[in-house]
Amino acid sequence: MHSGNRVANTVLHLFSLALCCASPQLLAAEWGMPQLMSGFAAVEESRASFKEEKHLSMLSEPLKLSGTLHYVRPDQIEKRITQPYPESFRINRDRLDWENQGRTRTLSLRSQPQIWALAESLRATLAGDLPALRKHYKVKLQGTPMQWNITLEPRYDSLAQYIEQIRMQGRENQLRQVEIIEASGDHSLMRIEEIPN
Amino acid sequence: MWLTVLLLSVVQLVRTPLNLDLSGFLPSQANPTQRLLIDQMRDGVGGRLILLAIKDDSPEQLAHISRQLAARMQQSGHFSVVANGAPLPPEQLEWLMERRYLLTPSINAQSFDVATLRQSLESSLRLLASPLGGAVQAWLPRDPGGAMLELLQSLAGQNPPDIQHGVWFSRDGQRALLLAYSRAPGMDALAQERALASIQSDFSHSIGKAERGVSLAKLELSGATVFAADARHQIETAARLASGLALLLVTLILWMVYRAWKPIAYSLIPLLAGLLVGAAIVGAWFGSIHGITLAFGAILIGEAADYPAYLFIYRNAGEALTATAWRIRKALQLAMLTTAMSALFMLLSDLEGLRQLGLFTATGALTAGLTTRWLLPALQPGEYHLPRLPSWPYPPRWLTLLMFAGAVIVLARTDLFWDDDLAHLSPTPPAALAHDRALRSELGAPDTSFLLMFAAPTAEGALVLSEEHQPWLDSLVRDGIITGYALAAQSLPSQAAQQARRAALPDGATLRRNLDKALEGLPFRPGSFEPFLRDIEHGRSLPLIQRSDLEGTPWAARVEALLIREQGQWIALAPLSGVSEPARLRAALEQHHTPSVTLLDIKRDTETLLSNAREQALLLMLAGVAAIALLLRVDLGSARAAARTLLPVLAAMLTTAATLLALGISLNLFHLISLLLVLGTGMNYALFFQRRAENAEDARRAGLAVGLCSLTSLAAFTCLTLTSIAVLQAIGLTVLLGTLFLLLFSASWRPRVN
Repeated sequence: MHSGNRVANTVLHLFSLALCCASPQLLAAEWGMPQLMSGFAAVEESRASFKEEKHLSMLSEPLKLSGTLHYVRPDQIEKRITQPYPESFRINRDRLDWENQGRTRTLSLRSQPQIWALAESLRATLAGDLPALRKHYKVKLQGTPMQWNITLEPRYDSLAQYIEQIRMQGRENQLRQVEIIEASGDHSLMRIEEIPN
Repeated sequence: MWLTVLLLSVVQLVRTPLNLDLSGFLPSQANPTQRLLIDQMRDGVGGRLILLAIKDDSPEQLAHISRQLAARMQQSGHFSVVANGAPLPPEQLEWLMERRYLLTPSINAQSFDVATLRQSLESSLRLLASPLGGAVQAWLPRDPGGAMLELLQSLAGQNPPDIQHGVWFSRDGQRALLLAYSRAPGMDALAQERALASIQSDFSHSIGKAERGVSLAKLELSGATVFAADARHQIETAARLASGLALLLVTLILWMVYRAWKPIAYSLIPLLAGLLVGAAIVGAWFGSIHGITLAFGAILIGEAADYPAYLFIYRNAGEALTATAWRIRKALQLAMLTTAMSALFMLLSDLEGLRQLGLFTATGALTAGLTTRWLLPALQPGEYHLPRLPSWPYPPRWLTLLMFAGAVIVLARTDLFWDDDLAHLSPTPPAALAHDRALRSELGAPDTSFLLMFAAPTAEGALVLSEEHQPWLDSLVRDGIITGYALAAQSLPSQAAQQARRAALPDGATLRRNLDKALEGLPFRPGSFEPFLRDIEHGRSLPLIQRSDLEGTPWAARVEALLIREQGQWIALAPLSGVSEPARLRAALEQHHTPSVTLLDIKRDTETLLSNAREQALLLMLAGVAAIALLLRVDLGSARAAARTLLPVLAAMLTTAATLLALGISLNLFHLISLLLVLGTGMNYALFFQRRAENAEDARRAGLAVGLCSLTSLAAFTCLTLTSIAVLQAIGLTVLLGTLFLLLFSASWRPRVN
């Protein structure tokens, strides 16, 4: 746990780069973000069910959603809500298809940089794409391979105005939980359970 | 006297504005639809639209340059609209927000009942839970019905471009996109050129002000005006090159014949005088002169350059030029009269451009002829010696008959006679057109080849009419017949529609009751929608939006372009985009049964206009030929002599047309005008060949004169065919072939000398 934290910090903080270079053989033996990510990178396709709770300031009680997630390496994700109403979001590279009430709208994610950055937190993690994750977030890893926590914090202002923090939990190369805390105070918690092939 | 005329001409010319707009070559007498078509071409939306793309730098830099450029272009005053996709400034957004219930088409009496409110609240809940939730939350309390979102989407059009770093980008993210509407009408070439030049200078300033030093970004421009300017430059360059080369060749040929500089220099005098007087008279009569008139006129009276050749060549050794002029006066007179005659018939044309051309050619040829007859003999050309050339052969007559028969067969059998597609004459490369189409579709800009017109006696009436058809237009979009449309009513709804929408806003108590009922069982916090209640109350007392309220907003230009006054009628225009199958569109319109809606198919309707103009020009040309025949009959004294002079020329013209067709070239107005020149020069050749030769020496002179004239025109027009400009090639090739056939036909049918 302690060593994992140190590796993450090593990458993030340039001043400790010297330490890392001084003992490369030590680094290779340890577990950290690169090892976790390469585990994810090995997954070609995955399916999961999810239960999500959204706590929004406009609402007096949380909104509860459930449905399925489907990921195909490297850049397709589908989030299909089945309860309490049917709705689906499909990301294909830089396009978002949004289908509800019999209508599909296509959004360019390039036109919606905050939403893209939010989607990237999930997509880049599932793809094991550390550089993409680091483009938008400062990444912190804690825990062990069997139970890890990743904390993402926005790297730039326009994203920080919207998102405060994203916390992810998992076991090996399975994502178990995603918690998004927005700058407005709204937050959501999504629990994920993999459906074995 | 001659000098006085010339001086007066110069004075007149200085006062005559040169008109570089093409509209003179569009008919002035047309039915209302055609009138509108012409006005649309002259200063409609299509002609004013300029598409811009900035490429070759990082997206951040491109976005920065796009903002800089847009700001500069806005300040330049050349453009009524400059758009780059940047978000509306807060005050304009608030202006729209305040009036959303007047502007949004879907607002009606049911919009605020319990069931509809319930439905929109449920949708809002889903929206909140979606990835857009964060953005939605800010305005949801004011607008749970989503009227603002609907309004913004309708204003953005059906296929808005992608946004990156706050401005429009191409789908591939490589180019920042902008569009602009020039204030100057599309056909005002000079103003358009100034506008384009100002864009270029704004752009170089903008890349100089890039965020990290000077950027290497490049600007691509597209649109009808850009193509027109490029075409003009290409034509000017090609014409300058060709005429320079032609001048050199002609001078060389003249030198080989005269071997003295005076006759060469004097040969230019009648031509220059003709140009000057012709242009001055056109200017005095019409008030201005079209650039095209001047260009074609200069080509047409190029024939006048032949007159001095006849004078100088027919001069006997030691003879005074006055005596020569007296000897050949009859042929010279007929030569200029026949040219003037055929040209004068063009004065009856519907096209002001052709009327100008007719007057120019007629007066120019007469001036050149009179100058040759009266002024040149007074000058002393000095001594020169003509080369002794063998006399002109008599080509076998059966050969000419055979060729003529072949020509008749080709003319009778061809089905690709005329080509009225303007695009075929356009020097714009296909790649540039494809690029333009791609940019248009990325920007969701109309391609402006198809417009629907809703006509009514008042502006309000036209707006109402267009609103009535909006559901039908939407159904066309759904059916994939069009991909989108634009209407003035989207930014300025009719007063009737606004009034109805305002009347649909319920009073405070009713709305509160309905809202409370609709909220039952939904998890919204109590009091969440107080701002919504306030907005509706405020909206109930808002004044309706008038045209003048739009001034200074980005929507003013749309209304200005799409709601126009035309001959006492008001017309709401709807440019359609993405018409892939015009036939389906026409069928849908027919099914719709609406006499008050007319479809303007710019390409097809222009072709109809052009083919009408071309048919008329052909008729006038035939009338001119008939008049020439009459003139020859009277002047030459016998029908036989007249026929012997005229028939070879007509045969040569027909053979020229047939040869062009056989080469796979369909004919257009420019070929027709070129054939007029062939008629003019042909008459000269025939007249001088037909002059009863007094002796072998005389016959030899006729041969030399015609030989010299044809050689100079062959040289000059071959230069034109070498250019890459379709219009110049058409003219060059026609005159080149015409001259060859003229030589052959008139030489073989001239009377034999013993």
